[in-house]
Amino acid sequence: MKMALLFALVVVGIIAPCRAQPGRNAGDETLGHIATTLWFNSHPDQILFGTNMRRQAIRFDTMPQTGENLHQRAMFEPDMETAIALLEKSTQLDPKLHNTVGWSYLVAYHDYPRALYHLNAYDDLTPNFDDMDNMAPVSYLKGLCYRNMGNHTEAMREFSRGIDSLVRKHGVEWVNYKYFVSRAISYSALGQFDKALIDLDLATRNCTHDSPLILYHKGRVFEGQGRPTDAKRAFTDAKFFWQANNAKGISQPEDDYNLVLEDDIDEALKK
Amino acid sequence: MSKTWRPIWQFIATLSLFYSFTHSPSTAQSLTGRWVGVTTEYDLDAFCPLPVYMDFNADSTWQLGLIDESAAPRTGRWARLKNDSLRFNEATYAPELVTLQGDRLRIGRVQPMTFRRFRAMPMKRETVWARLVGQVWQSDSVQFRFGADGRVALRNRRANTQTIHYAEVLALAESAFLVVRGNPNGRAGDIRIFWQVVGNDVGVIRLQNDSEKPEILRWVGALPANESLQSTQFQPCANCYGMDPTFFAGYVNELNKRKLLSLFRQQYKPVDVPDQSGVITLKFVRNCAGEIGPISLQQLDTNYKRRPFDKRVSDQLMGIVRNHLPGSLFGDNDKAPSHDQTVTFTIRLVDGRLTDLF
Repeated sequence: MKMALLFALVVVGIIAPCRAQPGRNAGDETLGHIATTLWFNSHPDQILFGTNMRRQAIRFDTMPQTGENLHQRAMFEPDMETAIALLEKSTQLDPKLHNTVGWSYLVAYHDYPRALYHLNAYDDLTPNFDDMDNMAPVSYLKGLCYRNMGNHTEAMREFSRGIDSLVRKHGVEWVNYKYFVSRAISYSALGQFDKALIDLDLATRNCTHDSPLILYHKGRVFEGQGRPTDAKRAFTDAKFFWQANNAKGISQPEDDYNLVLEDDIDEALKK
Repeated sequence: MSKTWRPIWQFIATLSLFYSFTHSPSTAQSLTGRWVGVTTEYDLDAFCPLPVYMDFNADSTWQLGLIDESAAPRTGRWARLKNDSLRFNEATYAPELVTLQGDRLRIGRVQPMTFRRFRAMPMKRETVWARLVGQVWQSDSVQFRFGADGRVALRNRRANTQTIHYAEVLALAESAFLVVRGNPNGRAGDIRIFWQVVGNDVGVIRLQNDSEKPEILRWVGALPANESLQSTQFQPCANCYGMDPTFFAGYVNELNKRKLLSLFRQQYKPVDVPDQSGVITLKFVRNCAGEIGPISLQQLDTNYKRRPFDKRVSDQLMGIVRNHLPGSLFGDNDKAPSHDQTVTFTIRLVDGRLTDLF
């Protein structure tokens, strides 16, 4: 399954650079790879995340069929039909998994109505509307679903629920800047550019680095407001900080939910 | 035997049995010597040749080297620790992770590696090579067609398909090893076959891999002078995906997904046939020469149950992959261009229209 592949990349990320250092010949790389595998084999478990997909799938097959185990098993299933059936069954056995299953539909399968169904089911099961189980309030994830379905009004409402609950609990300075960016995008789509700019300013305040993501969306808001000079400046800054962040080794793009790539910035600068 | 002596004999037998258990050569002692790699089990269905030798020397030095000596060997020390763990390769291996069965050594559980005890079989590699080059040899299952330029065609005798590689005979401690590696584009590349030559008789060459029974190559005849060795079908450049960093594969990064979506939106013509909604996952290998192998499709309806789409939909998607996928699409993020890439992505369709790619 796609999620497993994403995790697999973490391990590839560890192994691949060891093998592709400049100045090393192919023999060095091969021997390095074999020595690394031999080293991994000192690990007592039969699993190492990102390797042995089929072996690990069988391991989960022999475990008790709890919701959590079925959910984990789905991550190692390459067949989408089987993986989806496992995900659905896992929520029947353990309703709390509606949250992570909803997240899987949102991120890995781009099936927003199904994601929304599961996130709503999770929300209905829990006493507070802003329950956080993973990294984001469920309302925020629901907002992303609505936005991807083109319903910005409802998206903005859900984003606000998520953000407001965090502000009440922890203070505005503890809200992830990406949540403000998401709401700004919906405000912008609804033509509420002033509110979008306020959110992007809040995002800037909470972001610990110079963010091309925020600057790009500021540029888009300025465009919407008919301020081409400001837009151009924002896009130029976005490009500058994209390259600066690359040099500093900051991982880009910043946010998979709000994907801004260097190509997008270049495209905006061409206009 | 009288009844008086029976308990004494029983005592002696028990004592000798106990002695044999407690004073049998330990794993550490039995390990001493040279081992030759057999396979690495990267996964249940991914076994790859392990083209190395590993020395556990009596003076506590340890060495891991490639059979072709194309890299300086890794060296270090090895030791048996108090709890019977073994220390080598800058790691500690618990006793259950190093198992010795006769002349077979198995290490690890994550991606188990198998070695066999090396037995020197003095043989001149030039002599062996002279018998192979320009000739056709075959085992029960595979025919080897050795070209004069070092290329070799491996022909599957049942399916009658063949792949092209490079062959050579390497020397290790005066023994000879037949190595088949690479792909039609060059000798560089991973190893497909790695066997010690253990017999060189009239009309027969014996090769030893893991099993006790050697692989027997019988001479068929000379390779026709005008035969050009070519693959009969799509051939990946890698012989073993386990050695390939893109093995985990199929992952297409967000930039390329976006390029793919844009390409498919340009090229795909909506099909006006009822009930054409669901997802289609395309999976294929693009080899290091840019050739695309067979494309597998998984077609599911909106409830993620298997269903066939209209052929005008599925054929069109495969046609776009075959005819319009630019070679540069996967090149920008590829640190190892000589490797194959397994590409997987899913297309969502609503009423025959392409709506998403992920």
